[in-house]
Parts: sequence; structure tokens; C-alpha cells
Amino acid sequence: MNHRLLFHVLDSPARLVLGGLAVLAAVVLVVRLLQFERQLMPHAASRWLLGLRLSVIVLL
Amino acid sequence: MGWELLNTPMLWGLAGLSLPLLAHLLTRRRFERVSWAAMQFLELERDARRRVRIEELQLILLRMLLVGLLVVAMARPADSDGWLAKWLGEVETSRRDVVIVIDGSGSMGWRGGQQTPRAAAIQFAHRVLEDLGPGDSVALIEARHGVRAVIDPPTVNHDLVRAALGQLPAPGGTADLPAAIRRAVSLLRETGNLRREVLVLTDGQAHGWRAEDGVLWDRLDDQLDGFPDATRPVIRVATPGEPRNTSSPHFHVAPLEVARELVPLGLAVSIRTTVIGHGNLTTVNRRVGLEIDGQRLGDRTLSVSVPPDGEAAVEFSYRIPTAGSHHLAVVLDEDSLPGDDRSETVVTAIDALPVLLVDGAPHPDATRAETFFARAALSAAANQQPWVAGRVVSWDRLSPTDFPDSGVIVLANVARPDPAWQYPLTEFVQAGGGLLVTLGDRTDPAAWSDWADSTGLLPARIGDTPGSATGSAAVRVDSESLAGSWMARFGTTRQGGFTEARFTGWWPLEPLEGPAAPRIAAVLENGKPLLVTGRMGRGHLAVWSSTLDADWNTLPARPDYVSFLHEVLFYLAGGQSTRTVTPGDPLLLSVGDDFRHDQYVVVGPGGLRFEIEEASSGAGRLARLNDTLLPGHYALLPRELTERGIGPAEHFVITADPAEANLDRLEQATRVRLARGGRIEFVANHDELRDAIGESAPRTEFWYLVLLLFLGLLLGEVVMTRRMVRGGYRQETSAS
Repeated sequence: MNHRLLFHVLDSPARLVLGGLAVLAAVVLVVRLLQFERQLMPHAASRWLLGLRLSVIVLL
Repeated sequence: MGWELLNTPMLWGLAGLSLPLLAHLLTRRRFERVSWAAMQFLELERDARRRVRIEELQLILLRMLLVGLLVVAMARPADSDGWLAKWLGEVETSRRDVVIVIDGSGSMGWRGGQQTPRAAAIQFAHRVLEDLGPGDSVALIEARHGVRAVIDPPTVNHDLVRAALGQLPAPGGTADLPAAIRRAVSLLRETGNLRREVLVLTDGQAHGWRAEDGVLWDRLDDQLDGFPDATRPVIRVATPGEPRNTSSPHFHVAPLEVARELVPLGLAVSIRTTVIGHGNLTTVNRRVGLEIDGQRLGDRTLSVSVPPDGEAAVEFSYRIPTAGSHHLAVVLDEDSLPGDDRSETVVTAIDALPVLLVDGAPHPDATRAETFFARAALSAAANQQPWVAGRVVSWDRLSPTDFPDSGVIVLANVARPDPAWQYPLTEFVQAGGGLLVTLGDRTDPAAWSDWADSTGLLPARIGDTPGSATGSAAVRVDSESLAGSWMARFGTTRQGGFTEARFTGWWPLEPLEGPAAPRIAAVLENGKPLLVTGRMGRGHLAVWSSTLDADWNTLPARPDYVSFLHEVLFYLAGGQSTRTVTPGDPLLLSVGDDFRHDQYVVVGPGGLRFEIEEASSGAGRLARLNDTLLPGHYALLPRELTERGIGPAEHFVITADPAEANLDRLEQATRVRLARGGRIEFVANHDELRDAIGESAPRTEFWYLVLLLFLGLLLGEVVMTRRMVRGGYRQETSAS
């Protein structure tokens, strides 16, 4: 069984644009989240939280 | 049918749900509470504190949900035949992984119609390729006696498959379709697309489906059940060559029978076979000829009358002029099914067969030695070119180093086997050597029986007491027992013949039992086995229950003694010439120390080239070819000579299954049985295939919807965090 997620974003230009927009939106949201969290807690803690989120994605 | 996760191991990622909670607990600041007078003016109101806690809880839950969604997306959620699949199916068509299985059997070469089933199948495959999208992957395998992978693993480069379709070798032999389907299904376990299909292109012939083998088909069911519903492969069988006009008769040549595969130079070899008719309503005359090394011999052409659906025997005799291996073929004039109009074999001609006679009862008077008559028979003074090069050695001077130089070893009246012989003799026989044990007054039956049980180098156990008969009570060979064996030629009663010999002494033989049971080649009139033969590896074994000399029988005094001795020795040496094998068996050739494997190549049917491998056995180095699924003629040639198209060759033949000539179609009832439980769908043409694909249950993955939801919730987390910041809980960086 192939366990990889299959991304067919390159199959058509429309998929490519949509996929790119989704990634861009995710990046923007994460950056905004980081900015807000820095106002709520020390910078070190917010960086730690960001690292935790990214490591979850990488591990999966 | 419904929602499934295609990658369930990813659910271990749900352990990550605890991370937001852990992060919350670990990042909480620990404050030391100090009560002081004005504290009551700084404390938040009770409602405000509760609101903060609720918002924190909501944020934690939201973060846990985000992790959960990410895990579910990675676990590849899929829907088959559900509302989501139907809805998304209208938006997009999911990608396909297709394994095309082409029937490579001889019947695909039927020329009775407008085009051969093979050509129709290839055309069909091209149309299927045209229907595939750019992300669809394709593999191509050919069903032969075994499975021949042509494009494996599947590729999205469809031009590669188109090119391979144009280079498929000519159909021949039989096809193991269930094995090919199982291989195709196992290929689909490694692919990634949701829709997985096996397309079998065949001609509707019943032979090759093995429909009666329920266990085989149950295994396929088990294999299919191992898939999630969403990716369960669909197996479709198309028969583009049907309906076939089988009213025109066709004929096939049965496998060749040669008296021996190893022949001495100058001795005529007899080649026998049968021409079998299929569908001929009247007696038909067919021309049949003999080919040697690819050359049809003009003076070896016969006309045979084949009765309606009957057969006609054919026999050729040929004296091979030069030493080495030779490719023999009996060929019919071509008919509607050309693949079975010829039958082939290989015989090897040698100058003289080296035979080692081990005398177990040597005597100073040579005429009274155990091997005297045998040596005299094998080296007749009148024969200028003896077929056997016999050498005699006394049993107590026998050295295992003598074995490799011999083709056959004869242990004549040796009292008991020396344990030191076991290993070298086993290697010698397994590599194709022959071993004949003849008994006599010195035989220790217990020692030989133990040897038979422990080594397998004797095909029978020996009874405790020898039998005897004197005078007129002496027994002869039962001529009926010789029928059907390679000794049949000695069965005729004539003056001085084999069956006229009288036996006064013999040891009772009990053939060993087992999967490769020995065969009784000759029996005495009293029912006692006289000659028992067996196999070990590539070699032959035999035990003669009487003496090799004239002590216990009168055979040495009969003219047939000479020819019998030659016959039995060449039979035993036949294992050295295993040049005619069935599909799937390796081609082996003993080679010398100076043989360079990389300088040789095997040219097979249709000019296909195969690289040989280096191997070794106890008898020395070997050249080996394992890829032997295509029936036909193979020649091992020096690589440089193949470029010029000439050269001396070592010949081999992979035989074709004669049952392939039976063109009976797969019955409707059998099709229904094979299709039971939706295992297989039969389609007649390309339009039906398209309809079947269109009607198949919609399948879709929706991980991208889950990721979209993830994005939405991420936005929610940002909004909540922002509200907390704007709500006055901002961390005063200056204060910190």
C-alpha cells in the first residue's frame, strides 16, 4: 500500500493556482498567529509553539 | 462501501492531540502569590476571569482539533459509492492505475480470422492507453507459462508502454492467466491512485484459466479482500479476438520422442512423434518434414494421412554427422495455428561416452573378472569408432578423482559401497552423471540397502537372500514388462534376443518410495524386478539385480548383450544433455575454467537476447539462463559471432505445452463461476469496457477538503488569539 498523499496540483493550471493560494494562506495565517502570540507571551515561548506546530507537520 | 482511511497507520499521529494541552501547561507562568492590601483593586472581576478561562479552553480545543484534522488528512480519507464520492465525482475523475495483462499463449496466434487475437489485443491495449489521463499509471505483463513482466513497476509514461506493445515476442506455449492476474493485483498494492484496474486481454480459450482450481481462485479472493474497498482492484477480461472461426481444421505436432538425448557419432537417432488433427471432418494428408539446425532436409519429408480428429504416427531416422549439440524439429506445413506446427528437441552427439567399470570381483585370469564381458562388448575389435570409451578399475583402487572424467560409472558386484564415495558420487549424479549398480555373489544386501536409504544413490533396497533357479527352471525376462519403457526394442522374441537369456540368480529388489518413485524397467518371468531406474538431480540411477558377467545369467552370450549394454549406458548418460526442458526450468551448460560468461549471449525465439549468469555445481562451472518462459529454440553463441549472424552454437529447446492446441472456448457457465462475487467482469469490446468503467462505483479521496477545513480552523485560531490580544491580555513587553 502506498502511504503517500498524492498531490495532483501539477495536473492542471487551475489546481496549481488553488494549491499555491492554499499554501500561501496557511503561511500568512501562521505568521499572523506568531505575531499575536508574541504579544501574549514571551518571544521564546511563541517560537517554541511555532516549532511544535511545524514539527508535528514534518513528523506526519 | 463508504468512508475509509487508506493510510490507517497515520492514526498514530492522533497522539499529537496531547501537544496543545502539554504546551498550555508547560507555558503557564508560575507566580508566587503574595497577599497585600491593595490586591483587591487589581484583581479582575470574577466574570472576566471565567471568560478568560473559557477562551483559553476553546483555544486548546481548537488546537487539538487542528492536529486531529491534519492527522485525518494524512490518513487519506476516501469515499466509495457514497454521496460525497458521487458529488465530487461530478467535479473531477480520480486517477487510475491500470495493469494490462496480455495473453501470450500460442492460441493468440490464430490466423483464421481477419487479424490474430494477439494483434487485436495489442490494438485494444492502444485504445485503452488513449483513454488514460496524464496522471494514470500503467504496467504491462504477459501471461506465459509463468508471468513475464514487460513494464513493471507501473509508469505514467504511456509512450513507454506503447513501445513495449510493439516489441512483444510472438505468442507461444500456454498461459497461466490466474498467476498473471495475481501478479497484476500484487503490483496494484504498491500503486497510489484510488482506482486500480487489471485488464486481461485474451482470446477466450478455456485452456489457461484453470477454472477448476478453486483454491487458486480463493487465493485471488483473499488477495483482493486485503485491499480497502476504496482501492480494491477491478479485474476486467476482454476478448477482442472473439468470436473465432474455428471451423477450419488445424493440426499440431506432439512432443518429440528420441531414443536418447546423448548419441554417439555415426549411430542413427530415431525421432518419433504424432501429428494430431483438430476439427478435420475427413482424412487429410499433411506434409511433415525434419529440420536439423534450422535446415529442412529435403529427403526427410513425409506425407501423413490424419483421420478425422485423429492422429498419425511419424518416425524419422537421422545419423548426426558432427559432434556437439544439434537442434532437431519436426515441422508441418503451416496452418491456421502456426505456433504448434512444429515440435523441437536437442540431441548431443559425442565421439565416445567415457564409462568407468568398477570391478568388484577382480581376478588374475581376466576372463573370470566381473567386467570381462562388459569390457569386451564395449570395445569390439571390429568397431573402428567405438561409441563407448570403457576403462576398468578394481574396486579397491577406485578414487573419487576418477568420477568427474566419466559419463557413467558401473559398480559391478562391489561388496559394499565405501562411505568415502558418497559425497563425490552424489555430486557426480546430480550434475548429470549416470550410475549403474550390478549385483552378484559378493553383494552385501544390508550395506547396499542402508546406502539406498541414506544416500538415495540406489533406487531400490536389496532383499536378504538371493533367488536362484537351475537348469530348465532358469527364468527369462518378461517381454511384456519391457513395453512402454526405453527398453521396448528388446521386447521382441528372436534368436539370440534379450528375452531369450536365462537367469539363474538374482537379488530381490524393493524400489524405494517417495515423490520421485523409481521405475521398474524390466521384470523377470517370476515377477522379480530385474532393472530398476531412478533419478537424482539431473542424473540417472539404475540397479541390475543379476550379474554383469555370465555367472548368474546367459545374457553375455547373447548378441543383444552388446546393444543392451550400449542402450543402458546411453540412457544413464542422458542426464548430461538436459538441453530440452520445460518452460521455467533453467538452461544449464557445463563450461570450462577459461569460459568467459560476459563474452557469450543466448539468442532466443524471435531473436530476443538474454544474458547468461555464472553458476557452479559440484561438477564445476556452469552457464545458466533462468528466463525461460518463452518456448522455442535458444542458442548460446559467442557475442562477437552473433553480430555477424554466424557461429557454432550450443542449442537448447524450451518445449511448448501441447494442450494449447485445444482451442475450446471458455464456457458461459465457467465465466459466470469465475465472475462470482464481482471478482471478474467479462467485456467483449472496447465500448463495453468504457461502459463498465463509466458504471463502476464512484471513488474519491477528500483529504483536500479536510485540509481546507484545517485552513478554516487555523483562521479561527488566529481570530481568537487576536481577540485575546485586543481584549487586554497583551503581554507588556516593557514590563517583562
